[in-house]
Amino acid sequence: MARVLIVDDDPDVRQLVEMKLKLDGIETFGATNGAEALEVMAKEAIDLVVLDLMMPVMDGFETCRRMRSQEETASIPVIMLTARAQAADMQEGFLTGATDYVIKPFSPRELLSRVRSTLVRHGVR
Amino acid sequence: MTTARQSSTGFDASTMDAAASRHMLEAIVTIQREHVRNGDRGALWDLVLDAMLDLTGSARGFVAELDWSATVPDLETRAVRWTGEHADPSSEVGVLISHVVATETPLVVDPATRARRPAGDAFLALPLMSSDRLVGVVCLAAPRRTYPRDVVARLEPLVLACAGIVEALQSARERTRAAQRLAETASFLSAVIESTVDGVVVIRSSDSVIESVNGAAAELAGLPATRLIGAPVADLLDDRTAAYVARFSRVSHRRGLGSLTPTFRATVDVGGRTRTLDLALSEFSIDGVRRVVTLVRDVSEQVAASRLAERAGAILDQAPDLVAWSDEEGALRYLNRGGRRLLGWHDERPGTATVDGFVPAWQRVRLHDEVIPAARRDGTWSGELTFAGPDGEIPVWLVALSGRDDDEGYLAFLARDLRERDEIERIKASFVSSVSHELRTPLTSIIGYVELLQDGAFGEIAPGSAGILDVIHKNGRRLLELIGDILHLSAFDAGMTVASEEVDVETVIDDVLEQTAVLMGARTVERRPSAGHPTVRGSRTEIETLVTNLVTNAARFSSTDATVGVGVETAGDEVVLTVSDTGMGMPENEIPRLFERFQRGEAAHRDEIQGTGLGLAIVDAVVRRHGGRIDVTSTVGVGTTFAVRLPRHQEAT
Repeated sequence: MARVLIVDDDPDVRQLVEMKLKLDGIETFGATNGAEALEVMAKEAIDLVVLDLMMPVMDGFETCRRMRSQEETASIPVIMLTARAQAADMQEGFLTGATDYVIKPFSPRELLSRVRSTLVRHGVR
Repeated sequence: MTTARQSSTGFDASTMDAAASRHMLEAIVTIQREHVRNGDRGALWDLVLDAMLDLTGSARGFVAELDWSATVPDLETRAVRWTGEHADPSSEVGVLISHVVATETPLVVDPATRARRPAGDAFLALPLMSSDRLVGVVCLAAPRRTYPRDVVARLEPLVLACAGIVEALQSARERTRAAQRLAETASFLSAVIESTVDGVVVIRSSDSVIESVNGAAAELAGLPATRLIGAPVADLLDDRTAAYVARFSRVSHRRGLGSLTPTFRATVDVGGRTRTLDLALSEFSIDGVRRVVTLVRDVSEQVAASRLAERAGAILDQAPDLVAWSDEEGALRYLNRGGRRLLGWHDERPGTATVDGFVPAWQRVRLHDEVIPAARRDGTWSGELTFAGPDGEIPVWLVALSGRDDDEGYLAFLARDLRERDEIERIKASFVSSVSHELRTPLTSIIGYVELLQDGAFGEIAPGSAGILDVIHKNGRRLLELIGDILHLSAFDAGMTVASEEVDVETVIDDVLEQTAVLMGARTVERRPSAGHPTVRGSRTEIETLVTNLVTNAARFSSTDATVGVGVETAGDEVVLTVSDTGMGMPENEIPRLFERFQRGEAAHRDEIQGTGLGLAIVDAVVRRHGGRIDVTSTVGVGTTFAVRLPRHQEAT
């Protein structure tokens, strides 16, 4: 069973994503910011991270950068959640190592299909 | 030339005494009476000559009047009377006269001594002296006779009387001339007074009644002169001015002041209009009657003009922008308070300041080579420039104007500090970004959870609830779309500068068609290929929005069996992007208002086509921001074509 970590400071959004993924049989983990996310990844084997960009304590860019700098997390795919106004920033998102991105507000169906296709590309079922 | 000496023959002087004295007296009386009557010198000389001939028994004679107007007395110009004939100036007579003129003494010539003229005449020549000046010569000739020895002394009273008369005559003539000159001066002065633009009013001091006025005064009072003369001056003036004039009359009357007073400013109502008048009073006295002369000047326009200038100056000082003007060479003539504040010139700069002081050294070349020449050539220049502020450089929006009044050219400068605008732009941009995030996040949850319910995540939906969930979902999407559009437009309105990227329009179209594939549904998409890669300079995000909105519109306003064509090509200096559909089209009268905000066509309302009414307003804004234009052709029931023309980006190779 695929294990996905959802990182977002908005509990409603986090829960929405978790519900949608769980319904599709994915095991989910939650974190409210980048620092927490790194802690979760240190304890749990995570197959994919859905990462919000704008968060307190540690934002998505910094989280992604740190993941790529650590051997244990370097290869974990990351789907970034970003507001449309920051779409231009996604160049930086990819530079820091994002695998894909979904523009907020997103449709849970679309997010799920992105998650599924990314997992398949990375050989996770 | 001989000297006078006693005659030995002929002339009996003794018989002359009594009669001669009486005769001389009569002659003098006659001469005086005649000259007083007609003042004619020619007639006077006739009388003098007749009296002389009578008294001396001479047969002939003349009076030569000397013309002293010439620098040298000229015999040629004399007035001559030689009884019955004219004297020959080149003759011996001429020599005699010359002698008298030269010596100013009488001369008697005895015929006995005259060698060349044995049967010649005796000559007598007497100078006529007036105020120690020779005015004429009386010359007499007696044939074959000798004048008595004392003839000169005997004739002296007559000669003196003649001279006196000449003098009186001259002074009388001068008096006449002086009187004429005085009359001329008086009429000249009265013409001047009448023609002057200032009003002149003469007031009798004793009762303050107007005695005379000139035309300007009558005009200022708005009444004919005939109505003014005889009227009390107080009737024309306000109480304060009337009191001032009355006080002046009283004081000057008592003290005998005659001098002009300092100017008194009065406000007078003339024919319903308020005029400002400057009054100057002086008193004079003629024939014991004291009068006050009032000079009145209408200064309403000057007062209004200077008030206007003062007010304009005060207003300009309140303006936060810099307002300045200089002469054509840039020497500063005026700088308002806002300008001094902007530049940090808190001290009053001396008159040597120039507009060069506005800018830092590195901008002076631009100021002199670009800004000022363009303002001179076109009348105005405007653009961004850097000023030298007290704490460093300041970006400003400068408008430079050149103008000319009368013979003087000038340059005017208006400058607005852009630091605040730049700050506001930054704040707006960050606000737009924040609002975007804050509004979208809750919508994500609303739409997302509705989708979860719709997908049956929590079991089967009751038939009635499904419809309600659809409504919530649809309106959530609509709100989301509206927020996106409004934020786009507000970002444009905030004046956010356009990015300057090279945008390959082909790839933009491809991306958009990929993203809108679901919306296109069964519609045929005709992607027209083009040669090369038409490229524009600007914001990729904005161009993408533009294409998305046009393509989305094409899909929304056409049925599912329609064809949507998208293509781009280069045409000269332009890149032309075309989006066409075989949809419902629109009537021609809807086209002009097509790009207005929240403007939706009739079909959109009738067929309940989804949309915010902002899509084309955004397209229009993006096109404008990129310096392009947009053409629309549409036929109801046939379709619509949008052609966007943007400046082509040509790579500098």
